[in-house]
Amino acid sequence: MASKKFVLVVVAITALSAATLGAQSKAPAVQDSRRFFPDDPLWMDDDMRNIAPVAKDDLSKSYDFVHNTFSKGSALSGPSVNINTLGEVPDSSWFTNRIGVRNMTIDEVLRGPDTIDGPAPGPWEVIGKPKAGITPKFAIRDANGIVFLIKLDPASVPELASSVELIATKIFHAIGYTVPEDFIASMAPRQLRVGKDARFKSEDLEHLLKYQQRQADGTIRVLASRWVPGKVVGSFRFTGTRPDDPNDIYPHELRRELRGLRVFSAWLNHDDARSINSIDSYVEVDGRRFIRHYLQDFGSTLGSGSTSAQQPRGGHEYLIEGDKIRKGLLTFGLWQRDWMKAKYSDLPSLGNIESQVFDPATWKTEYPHPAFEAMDAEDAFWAARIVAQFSDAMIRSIVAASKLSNAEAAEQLTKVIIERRDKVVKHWITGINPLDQFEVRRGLRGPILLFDNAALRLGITAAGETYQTTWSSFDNMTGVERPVSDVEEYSEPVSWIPTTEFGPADPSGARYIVATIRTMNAAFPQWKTPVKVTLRDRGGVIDIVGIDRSGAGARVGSTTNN
Amino acid sequence: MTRTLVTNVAALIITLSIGSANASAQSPDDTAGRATALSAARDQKSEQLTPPERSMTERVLYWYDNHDSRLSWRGLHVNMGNFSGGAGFAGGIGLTQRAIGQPVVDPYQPNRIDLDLSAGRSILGYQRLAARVDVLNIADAPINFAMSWRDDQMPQEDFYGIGPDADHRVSYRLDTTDTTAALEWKPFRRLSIGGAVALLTPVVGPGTDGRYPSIEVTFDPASAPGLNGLPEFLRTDAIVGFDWRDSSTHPRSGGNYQVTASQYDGRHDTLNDFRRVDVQLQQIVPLGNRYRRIELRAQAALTDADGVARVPIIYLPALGGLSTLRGFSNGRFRDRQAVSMSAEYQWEAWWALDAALFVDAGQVMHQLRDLKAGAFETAYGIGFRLHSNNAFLARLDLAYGREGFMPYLGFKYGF
Repeated sequence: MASKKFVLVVVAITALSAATLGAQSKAPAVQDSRRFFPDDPLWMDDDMRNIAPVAKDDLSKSYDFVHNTFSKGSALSGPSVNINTLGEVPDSSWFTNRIGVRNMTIDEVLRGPDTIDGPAPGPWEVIGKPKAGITPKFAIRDANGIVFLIKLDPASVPELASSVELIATKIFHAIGYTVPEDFIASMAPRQLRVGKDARFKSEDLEHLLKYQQRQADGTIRVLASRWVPGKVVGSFRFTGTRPDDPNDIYPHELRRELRGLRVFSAWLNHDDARSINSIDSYVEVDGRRFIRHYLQDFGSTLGSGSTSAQQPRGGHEYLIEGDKIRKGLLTFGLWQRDWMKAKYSDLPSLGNIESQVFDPATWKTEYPHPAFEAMDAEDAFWAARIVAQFSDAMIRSIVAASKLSNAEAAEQLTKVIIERRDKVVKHWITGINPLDQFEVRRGLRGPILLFDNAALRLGITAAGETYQTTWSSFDNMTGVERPVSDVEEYSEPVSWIPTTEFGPADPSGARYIVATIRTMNAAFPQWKTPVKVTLRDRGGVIDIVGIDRSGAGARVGSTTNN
Repeated sequence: MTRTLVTNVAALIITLSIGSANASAQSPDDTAGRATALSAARDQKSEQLTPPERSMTERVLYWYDNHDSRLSWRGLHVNMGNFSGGAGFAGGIGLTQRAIGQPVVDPYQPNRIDLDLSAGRSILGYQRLAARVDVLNIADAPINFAMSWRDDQMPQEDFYGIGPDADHRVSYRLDTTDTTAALEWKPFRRLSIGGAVALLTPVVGPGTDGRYPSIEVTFDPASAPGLNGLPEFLRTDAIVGFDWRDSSTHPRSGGNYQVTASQYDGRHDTLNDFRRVDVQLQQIVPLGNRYRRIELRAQAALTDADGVARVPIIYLPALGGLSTLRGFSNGRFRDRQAVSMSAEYQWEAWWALDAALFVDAGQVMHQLRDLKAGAFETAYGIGFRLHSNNAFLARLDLAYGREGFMPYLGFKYGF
C-alpha cells in the first residue's frame, strides 16, 4: 500500500503536470517539453520486456474487503496515465485492442481466446481441487495432457453459472482483456479418474457430482476453463504497482482499462470484479518472460451469484453502506431501495438479472473498488464506445454459445443484455462531448477535418446540434497555443484545416495545429466542453496526433454517493 | 518504499499521453520517441525492485483467509451455553461431528450419523451437559431418528404463582435429566409426522436468587404442585407439522403449523399424570415484496389431568420470554392453559439486518372457558435480527410490558 508521503508527492507532481498543460497557451516557452513525440500516437506499450522470475504475491480477500470498505483515500486520483495521445489504451500485457479498434466477425468473437476446441474426449485425470473461490470445482488433465479447471453449476440453478461465465469470457476477450479459454463441456462421470497425487478422494468427487443434473445422455454439463499458461504469481491489485515487476510502472488505479472496466462490469453485472478474480501469470512468449494480467472467474456475472442466483442487492449496493443502513432502519421500511422493486424471470437458468431497474451510473461492485472509484468521464466514454461495438446479432450469438437448453431463457437473456448495453452506452456516451472518428481528408479547397458524433451515430440523440470550431497553431516545444481563426459554426461535423497556420517545426520537423471543437445541444450542456484535436504536418502529410478530452475529465462520481 | 516512490513518480511523469521534460531531456534529438522514454522508466525501475510486502493487518487477514477452521477445530467449538433467559452470562464448549465416517457432509446421505456434545455453565451457576446423536435418512428413506440426553442444573428459576394474577416472585431450583428418543417421517417435503419417548427426572428445590424468597417460603405443594417431590416421568409425544415457508431459518413467506400431543406419566405415581397439547402456528405475509412483511404467530399450550392429578409447575404452560410474551420475564405467567399471539411488521433495513415492530398478547387460565377477551397481557417493542443471505444468526428484541422494559438476546429463530 502507498504511504501518505508517497501519495502526497505523487499528487503534487500530478498537479504540477496538469498545471503545466493548462497554462500552455499562456506560459513562456519551456525547453524540451514536447507534448508530442515522433512515435506518437503509441499503440503498443512494450511492457512485455524480459524480466527475472518473481515471487508469488497472493492477496488476502478479507483484507481487500476491509481495506476498500473502511479505508478511504489511499488510491491515487486524476486522469488515466497509460493512454496514448489519442486517448486510447495501447496494447500491453494488460489489454489488447480488439473490437474497439476494428471490426470483429461474430465467429471471431465466439472463438475468443480459444486455441483449442475444449477438453479432449477420453479419460480425464482428476489432479486436484483448488482452494480459491466458492464455486464447486476440480482440476483435470485431459487425454491430450491439457489441464482444465472443471466448474460445476449449483444444483439449484442448473446451467446458470456456466452460461454466464462463458458469455462474460467471450465479451471481455473481445473488449481486449486477457481471459482464460472457457468451454461448455459435457462430462461423463465414468471418464474421470482420480490421480494418485490429487489430494482429492474419489468419495469427494462422487459427492461433488452426486446431485448434479444429468443431461439426456447421462453426462453432466460443466464449464471447463483451461489452466492459464505460465506460472501463476498471484493476483493484481487495483492500486499501486507491483514492486518486483519492472514492466509495471503505471499505478493500476490510473490505468484506463482498469477504470473503464467499471462500465463493462456494470453492463454484465460483474459485481465480483475484484483483485482475487484476477491472475498474474509469469509467461514466456517469443523468448521473453514477463507477467501477463488476466481477468478470470466470471461466475458472479449477469444473473448468477456463483453458487446461487445473484442476490437482488448485487450490483446495486455495497455490502456495507452506513447511510443506507441508517435510512433503512429509521424509515421503518417506508423507504425501499429501487432494486427491491426489480422483477426477475422465474427461469432458474437466468438467475436474477434484469434491465429495467439497472442504472449504469449507480451500479456497484460488492464493495468499493479503487479503480472504479477513480473512473472519469473520459474513461467511461472510452469504454462505452467499445460496448457499442457489440451488435444485437453478436450478443445473440454469444448467448447461443452458452448452450442454454431453454430457448426462452436464451431469448430473455439476450434481450436483457441488449437492453443493458443500450443503457450503458446512452449514459456514458452522452456524459461528455461525444465527438469521435476524427479523420483528415482532402477536400475541394484543401484538407478538411471530418469527425462524427457518437451519440448521433448510435441513435441516442436526434440530429440538430451544431459544432463550433476554433483553430490554434501549436508549438510542440513550448506547448503554447495561438488562436488563428474565429469561431466557425457548422451543422455538419467538418471543418477546413487552415494549412498555413501550423505552428513552428519541432526538432523532428513536424508542425502542429489544434482544432477546439464544441458541440452545441441544449439537451446536453456538458457537450460545450471542447474536444481538442491536434493535427501534425510532416512533410505535407497531415495526421491526427492528439485528441484531448481532458476538459471533461472530472471523476464521474463515486459509486458510494448513489 | 523510497525506491518505489522514485519509480512511481517517474512513471507518473512519463505518461503515454503527456510530454515529459525528463524524458525530453534524455532524448532531445528528433529521433527519440515516447517508447524510448517508457523504456528508460522501466530500466530505472528494474534497478529498484523490491519484493511485494504486506502490512501486519494484511498478514493477519491472509492467515485468517487460509485457515478453514477459524471458529472450530475438528468440530470443537465454543458456545454460549444455550440457556434460557435469566441464566446470566454463560459460555461453554461443544463438539459437533456431521456425517460421521463419511468423507463429506451430504444432507441426503443414507444412514448419516451426526453427533453433538456440549457443556456450558453460567455465572449464576446454571449448568448444562448435553449429548445428541442423529441418524438421518434411514435406509435412504425420509426417516430420521434422534437420541438425546441432557442434564440441566438451573438454580434460580422464577416462579410467580399460578394464574393470571399471580404476583409473588420466588426462586426455585430445577435439576433435570432428560433422555429422549425421537422418530420423524417426512412423507412429503413439507409434511412431517413424528413421535418421541422421553424419560424425565426432574428435581425441584430451593432457589438461590438472593433477591427473592425461595419457593418454599411462599408456596406449598398445594399452590405449587411438585414442590414436595416429583417422580420420574415417561413422556410420550405425537407430532405433526406442515411447513411451507421459503426458509426454515430466515423465512420471508409461507407458513409453519405444528401440533404436539404429549402424555406425561409419573413412574409409580399417578398423581402427576397429565396430558399436554402444544399448537404453534406461524404465517408470514409479504407486503408487496419479500423485503416487507407481516408475521403472525399464535400458540396454545393446553393441559389436562384426570381426577385429583396435578400438573407440576415445571410442566405448566407458561408465558413470558423471547418466544411467547415479550415484555415479561421467562415463565412469568403459568396455568393449566396458555394462549398467546404475536404480530410483527418486519422490514429489511440492510441485507444482513431485519428490523421488526411487534405486539404480543397472551393469557393463562385454568380452563379454556376462562379465556376473556379483555384479560390479555400485552407487550410491544422493536427487534433487530441479523442474518446472512439465507440463515438467521442472532436477534435482539427490546420489549415493553406493564412490568417494564425487557431486552432479549437470542440465537435461534422463531418459536
